[in-house]
Amino acid sequence: MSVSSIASVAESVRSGSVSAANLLDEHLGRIAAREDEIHAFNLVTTETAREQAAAVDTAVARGDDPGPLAGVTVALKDNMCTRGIPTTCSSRILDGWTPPYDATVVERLRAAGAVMVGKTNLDEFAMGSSTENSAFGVTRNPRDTSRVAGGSSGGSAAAVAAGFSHVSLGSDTGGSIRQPAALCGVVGVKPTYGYVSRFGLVAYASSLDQIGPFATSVEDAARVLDVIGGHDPNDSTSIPQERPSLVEALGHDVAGLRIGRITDLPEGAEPDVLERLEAAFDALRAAGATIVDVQVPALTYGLSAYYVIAPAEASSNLARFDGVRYGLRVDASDTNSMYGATRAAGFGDEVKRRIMLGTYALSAGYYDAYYGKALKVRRLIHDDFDRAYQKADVLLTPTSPSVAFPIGSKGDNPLAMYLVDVYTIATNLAGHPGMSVPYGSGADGLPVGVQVLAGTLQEPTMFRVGAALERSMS
Amino acid sequence: MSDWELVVGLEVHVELATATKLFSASPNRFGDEPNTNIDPVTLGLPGALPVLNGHAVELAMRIGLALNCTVQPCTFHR
Repeated sequence: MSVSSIASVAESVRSGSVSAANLLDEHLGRIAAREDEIHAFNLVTTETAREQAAAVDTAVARGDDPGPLAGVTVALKDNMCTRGIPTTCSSRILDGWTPPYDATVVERLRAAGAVMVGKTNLDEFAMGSSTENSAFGVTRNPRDTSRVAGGSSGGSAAAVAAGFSHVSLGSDTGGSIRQPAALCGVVGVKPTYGYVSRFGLVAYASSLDQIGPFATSVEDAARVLDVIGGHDPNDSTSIPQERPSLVEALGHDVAGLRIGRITDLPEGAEPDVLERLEAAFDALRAAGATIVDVQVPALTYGLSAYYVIAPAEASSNLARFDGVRYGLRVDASDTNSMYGATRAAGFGDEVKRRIMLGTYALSAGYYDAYYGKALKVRRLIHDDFDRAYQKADVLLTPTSPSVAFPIGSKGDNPLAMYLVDVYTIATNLAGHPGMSVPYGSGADGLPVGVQVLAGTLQEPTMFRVGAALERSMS
Repeated sequence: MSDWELVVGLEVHVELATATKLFSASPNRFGDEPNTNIDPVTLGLPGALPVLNGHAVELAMRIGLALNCTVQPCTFHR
């Protein structure tokens, strides 16, 4: 697995001492050796990757600067549109569809000189926490292949953990970057809502979705976010203001920062996970930070509110997959039957479950009782967090209640699966940033992640704390 | 009938002379070949997001003010 920072990788490529083509071959070699076992990818884009690497090397030879991520290999969650390359969302419903355009994040990565190695596996339409809901089979955890990689961005987390790419992108609607990062032992960041453009990200729940990076270090994650973040005229929810460089923020230590401990954190975390969380508090205290107690009472209602709001938005967003314009079509005697037959064949069980939940929550007579109520809870969660952030600069929690669980162990019980997002989900409801930093190992020697949460656009502080945690482990 | 009060509402549609469409950057031009002034947004492709035409909003506010109406603030949430 690659240990050099992507800054030094890009520097060697820009100076001509290492070629992007060689770096790519190294990664393709690792993919060839282990991808059959891991299944991180829906598609390895060998040909376009070679073209991109050659373009970077040609630019260097010409004396042009290929960009700050020159030759850095990146894997993309397969719900981000790539021009001329199939984008499946790990669903049969998009069979045969190839986007005619690139997502903004894809354009920005390419402009920075990154080389895309493939499209990674996910829970269908990002609905799930184990990547077991993919139409194309489960992704296995590179640290223990009998375990899940987490989800929904399990393929992107596994790709970085297995050394298939330097970094990767995922999307996080309720924990889908942070939880797989924790389970695979890598860094995963969900930025503030609107920090990164969502243009070209196939929508699941639009008021919660956000794109972010996976990396083997906090610094690498900061560098990727510095490249992909910022306003995009094609996404009116992307934040128009200037952002400070996150890489520069890493230069500051945590002395004097107030680290919040949530005293009314919902129960359910395993003892090995809580032990690592305590170690993280100790390390930050030793680095000069102060630990303060805070309460976030509405946190306990986060899961319930999420499972009304997210399915409601999903039922609306997924209405477009009707077999008429793109993807799968199952022919039937009339148009209405064709819609039904196409959606019955194209969507998996979890997607159907959420479409039905959402349609019910939005239907006349139930709207106020479910959707209206959930929006009020969302407001309470936001306000509770705001109060906590008056007392603390960041909050520290477990990312996931347990280490990676065995494949198949929660498959028959959707509620048990929903519970694994208990510590990540409220962040999305509040629109706040959060990151998971690997912090040692728990049961069976598997990785444990500690989650750093911060208020709106407080990424610089969040990254400082993440970097301090990382330093304390080295 | 004398118990009934007549209330008449008018809904007036006006074609705006904006350069681009209301929710996409494609040309707002009539009479062109079908399916030429299109893009991922107008086609409703997966991943595409609509962006409201700022000039159209300005024109709407202008007619509102000209007719002595109150312009209400409003936000697109997602």
